[in-house]
Amino acid sequence: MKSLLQFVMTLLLIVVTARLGPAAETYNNSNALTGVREAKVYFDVNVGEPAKLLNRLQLIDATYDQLVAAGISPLFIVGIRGKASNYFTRGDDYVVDTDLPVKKQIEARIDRFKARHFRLEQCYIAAGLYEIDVVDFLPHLEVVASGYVAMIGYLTKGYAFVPMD
Amino acid sequence: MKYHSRSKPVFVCLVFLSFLLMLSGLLPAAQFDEDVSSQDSLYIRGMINTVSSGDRSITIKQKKGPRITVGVNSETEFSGVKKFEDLQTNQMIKLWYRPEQGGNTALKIVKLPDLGC
Repeated sequence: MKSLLQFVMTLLLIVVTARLGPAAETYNNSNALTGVREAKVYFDVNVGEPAKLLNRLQLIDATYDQLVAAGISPLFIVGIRGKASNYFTRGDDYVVDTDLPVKKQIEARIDRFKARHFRLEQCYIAAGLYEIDVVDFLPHLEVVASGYVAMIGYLTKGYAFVPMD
Repeated sequence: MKYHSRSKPVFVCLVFLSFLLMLSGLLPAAQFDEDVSSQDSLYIRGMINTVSSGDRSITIKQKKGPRITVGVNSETEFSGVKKFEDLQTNQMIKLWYRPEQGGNTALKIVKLPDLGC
């Protein structure tokens, strides 16, 4: 009797999972993306909380994948400013010890971004405010005079602005 | 009011003593205004790496410098935060402390504002 109940429960679970799976895949952005061939995007990354920051970087990656899957050529610029700047540095000087494992994951994500030809721009003003030596930034980052001016420039050029708060 | 010529030196001495007393009162207040170490205290600047509520101590991680652990007591002055319990990891602070046989004692802790940008 007990094994029969287990069998029925397992069967029920399989049926429910099978129904949920394909349904989730039916979502798309066809309304927004109709006629779009290229997507120029500026991501404003300023989160100072490491787990949240890593999550935001993963979302940037996922967004790239979704655009490519929709047949669109993405051109991504990731602007880094604020407290997030501490996590885009070499070594372990700029973050507390407990954040170091997440910082490693962030660095790995940045390697992936570089492989996908994202442009990574670090705000120099933030570097000054957080007392980060410019030479200590990850080599993939390009330091720009002001993240704000960069935003203004790219938005004027028609880039979509995505705040990653 | 008219002063006798004999009391004038006494008056001058009193004024001078008052001036000295005022200066001595100002000195302790001013000793943490400068971001430097002195004969009485050492100065560092860094990020709070750990906070230990049990022994009321914090460890500061300096940029390219050693980690320093200091004990906080009732004499410790605070600025930017009100009390030990307000201190948290990741906060940038300025710290004046005194090395003692039983460990370092925090004299003054200034939490720096997070300016964002």
